[in-house]
Amino acid sequence: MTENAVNKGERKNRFWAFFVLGFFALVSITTFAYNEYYIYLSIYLWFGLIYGLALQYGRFCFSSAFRDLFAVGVARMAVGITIAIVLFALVASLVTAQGLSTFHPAPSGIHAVIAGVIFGMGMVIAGGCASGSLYKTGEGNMNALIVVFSISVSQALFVDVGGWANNLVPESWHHSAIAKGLPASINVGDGWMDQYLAGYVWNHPVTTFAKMLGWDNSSALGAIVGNFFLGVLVPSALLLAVVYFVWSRKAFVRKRVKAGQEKMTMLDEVKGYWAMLSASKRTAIAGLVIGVAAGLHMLVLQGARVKFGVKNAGALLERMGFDYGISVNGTVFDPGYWYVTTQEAQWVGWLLQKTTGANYMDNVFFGYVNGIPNPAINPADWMSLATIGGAAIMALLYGEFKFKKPTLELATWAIIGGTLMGIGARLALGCNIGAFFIRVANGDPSGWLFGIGMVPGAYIAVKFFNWWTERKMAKQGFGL
Amino acid sequence: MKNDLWVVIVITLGFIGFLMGYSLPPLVETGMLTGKGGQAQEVQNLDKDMAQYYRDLSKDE
Repeated sequence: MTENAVNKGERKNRFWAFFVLGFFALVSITTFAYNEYYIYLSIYLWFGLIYGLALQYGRFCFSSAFRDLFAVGVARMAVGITIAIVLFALVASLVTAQGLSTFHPAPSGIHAVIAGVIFGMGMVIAGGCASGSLYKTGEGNMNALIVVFSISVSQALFVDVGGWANNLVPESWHHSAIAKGLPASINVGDGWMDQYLAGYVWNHPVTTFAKMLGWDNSSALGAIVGNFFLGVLVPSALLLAVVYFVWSRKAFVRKRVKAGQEKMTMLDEVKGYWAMLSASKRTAIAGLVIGVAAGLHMLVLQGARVKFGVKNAGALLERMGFDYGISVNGTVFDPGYWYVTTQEAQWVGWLLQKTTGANYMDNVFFGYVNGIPNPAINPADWMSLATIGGAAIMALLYGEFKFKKPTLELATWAIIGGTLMGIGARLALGCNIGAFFIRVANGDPSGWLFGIGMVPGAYIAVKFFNWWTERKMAKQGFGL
Repeated sequence: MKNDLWVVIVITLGFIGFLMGYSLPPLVETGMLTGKGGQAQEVQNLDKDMAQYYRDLSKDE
């Protein structure tokens, strides 16, 4: 390629990068000028953009982390993600200690582990986790876009599945769900997911490490010592030690043997551990950015809630004159921090209700909790779109943006993997971000339970793919 | 490309800065951020004239 063509390509990329950035800036400014309340949505937008920039910069993908570790023994991504969790946890604990956290822990139980297994399998099969698929979409990877669509559609359908699926509901769930006395518009006795949520998941304890130790969650002791130190730092250090001894140490010892130093002292082990941590510099920088941004995101949103005197964006949407798709509690999905999958289910729920006329607001997930507002005014959808946009900006500036058409085989895996992720995300009430990254960093034990499930799920999927690839190569005559 | 990235970072941080400047003052004003909020105001003793004034308010004309 000539220098001229390279320059032309760079100029084109630069134009599109600033076009995307300009578009988001224009949306923020014009909507704010139209109605002050839109700033609430802009908070999601700009933090979403930062997540996208950082995700693409660090190639931050949970699927890659597990795949690299189990398939080829490379720990870089897994280490980077763990560092990001620790950094976010530190910021989050400071926010929590001020009593300003928007985080709500989830019910802890075996369901989180099972959901993690399903989600872990799905993300390896799909070739990207929920957040990874967003940033890869921003890079122009259309296979990742199929994964995003697949996660979206499978969730929206799964939360509304009833009929024959009611036969799979244990009697105890049914009675417990009915006993919750939900509003009449929520048909809680019909639908597998409704009875699973109201009759099973909600019966589990909602706690944090601080609470388990008898400390107030928003006290300095509870937030910093309980949630951060004991709930995140200590388990993360142990986890990294396991990764070092099982995977990274071998390469470090090999290097030393080559250099003629065979004996490993304690100091050498520490050096090896540090070498593993510092090897993932780019992912760690991304982790640092995500960690700080995620913490600030909670703080700024809390400020906006206090300023407008609301606890949820549903009240703001109603004040702005949008009452369609708001839950029976007057709420819409407004997590107050980084989340990926729920908003993906919402836009499909909204579309299905609009186009088919079916009622998607009679289930717990949409009708009682999250609503199905128009995606154009859905705060969390602004975040997801900006995440894709942020990743696109970074990819364009680094010359890494490229439209990649999916092959039939990859599209099939994307649909299967995306569906499994969608189901896993609903069972766990979140994905690798909402159910793992955010929860672990905020001292919620259910995050670790989801993570424990993701490990065997991803391992099974990696082994399956190894078998599948070998079988395919043997068929094509590449076998031994 | 590096300069372009810095421009993107500066613009993004500009918006984030605005959002922080817009959202955080209520947290400071209410004392939520500084930890000084929520303290009850000290009860001040009314002087005699003021106490009489309030008593007179409840009298029938």
